[in-house]
Amino acid sequence: MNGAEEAAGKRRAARIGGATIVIAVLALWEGVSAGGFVDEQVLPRVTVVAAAWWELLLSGELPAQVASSLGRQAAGFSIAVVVGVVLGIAMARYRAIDDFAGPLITMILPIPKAALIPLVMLWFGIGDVAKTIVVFLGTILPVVVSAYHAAGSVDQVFLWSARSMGDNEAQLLRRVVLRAALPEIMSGIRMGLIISLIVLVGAEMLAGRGGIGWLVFYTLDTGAYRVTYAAMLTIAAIGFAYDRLFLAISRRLLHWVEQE
Amino acid sequence: MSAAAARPAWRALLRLRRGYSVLLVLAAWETASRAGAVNTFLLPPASEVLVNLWNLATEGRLLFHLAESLLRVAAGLGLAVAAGIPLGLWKARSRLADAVLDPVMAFWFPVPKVGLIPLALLFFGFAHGSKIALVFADALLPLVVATYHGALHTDRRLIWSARAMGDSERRILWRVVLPAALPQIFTGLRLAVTVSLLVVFLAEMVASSSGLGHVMIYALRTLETKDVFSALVTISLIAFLADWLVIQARRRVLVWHA
Repeated sequence: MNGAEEAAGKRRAARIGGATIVIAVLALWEGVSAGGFVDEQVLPRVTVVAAAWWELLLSGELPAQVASSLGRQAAGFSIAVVVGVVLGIAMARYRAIDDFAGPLITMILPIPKAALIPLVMLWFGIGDVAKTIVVFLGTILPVVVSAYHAAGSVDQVFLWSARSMGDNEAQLLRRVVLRAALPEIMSGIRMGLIISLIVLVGAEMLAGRGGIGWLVFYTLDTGAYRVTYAAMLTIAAIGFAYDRLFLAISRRLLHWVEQE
Repeated sequence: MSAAAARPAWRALLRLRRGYSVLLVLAAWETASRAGAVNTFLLPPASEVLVNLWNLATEGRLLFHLAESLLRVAAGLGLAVAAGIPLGLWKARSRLADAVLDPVMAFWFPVPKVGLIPLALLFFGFAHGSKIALVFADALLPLVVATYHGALHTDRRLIWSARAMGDSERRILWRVVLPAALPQIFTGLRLAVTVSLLVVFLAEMVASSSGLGHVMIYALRTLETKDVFSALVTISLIAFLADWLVIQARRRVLVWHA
């Protein structure tokens, strides 16, 4: 009880501390820009950027570009999670699949995923399909690797007991292996989520039209720096919101695991 | 199992079982491309990619771009190590630092830092500066987090013994806590290296006139697909080597660690 109270108190303190720091950074930004320490062209004031952001929101430009990005992200990410978890568990459970896919994944794993973007562009162009594939490739490897490790180290005792109580292979996989592996799989998915946003924004900056990454570079080229800043802040906010959402979902799914 | 592993012929077969798919894919790539089953513009034969890579490497231009990329990674990563380890130690030892850094990191961690490329360009320029800043921004957090966790979980008894033997707090930090945190720090470093490479090549693709990322995107735009593949192979080799180096360094430094 005492521990829970203490934890709640710590969370509250963190929230207050966080708000203070955000306000301090924004005030510093405003001061630096308004005080003329940095060219106002290069670093527009916070208030100016906020106004630009509001305008962008009302005009429908920002929602449209964000929706375009999130659609690509959601499609590639969810396919990668499903395929990755299934493949990872299958590799851990079946020798033949591991022998085939394992060495290929070991070979692809260290490739910085950004380097695959030009290849995807060469084969699939610069449209939605190409960007969805980029997200898929960025997400799937951490997911496969974590699912493989987790499913491979499930406590044998669990498997034996489930078998002895009459579980067939499908039940075993779904009810025992997947569940026991879930905490580690979730940390792989979190990694995949972060990489997926990085490669998506990068791919949007590189080529094609539409998406929040495109908006950032388009406005940079046209010199509308206010809008560039507004779009960059939006990207940061998306990353932050996704992480929070992920943590909330993961806490729900893993309510039976002791949280730190 | 162990009896089989003892016999060399069996061992070779075992190794083949773990590698045949890679050979199969390479062979399929080569034959599909040579037989004209796929467009050789989209997928040049593997052997031609290798020959092309050799030509690019001996010609010297590739090495120049390679050096540019490595310089940026080394500078950004070096700064991140120099700042991240002290920050992590400080966070573990001081309540104030913990209170200040926690919210900052909670905000900073999930932000896709490539989204800030324009910011880096505006403040640090089109050349090395912006890339070094981005590598630093991305490599810093894994190092701070790893050092913090390593330092936080230092065996209390080690600290007590050092204190009992009259060591100053500062000496304890550098002589006891830091070495105890090293295994974790290496894990963080490994992640930092991976992220650094991802970011540097991406930034070079988006905005640069040098570096391997630039080579790749330039080759794509000029439709020199063999160069795209050669650059991809080089980048992959670099990433593989970098990871291997971290693992080797870890083994060297942590001889005392199980």
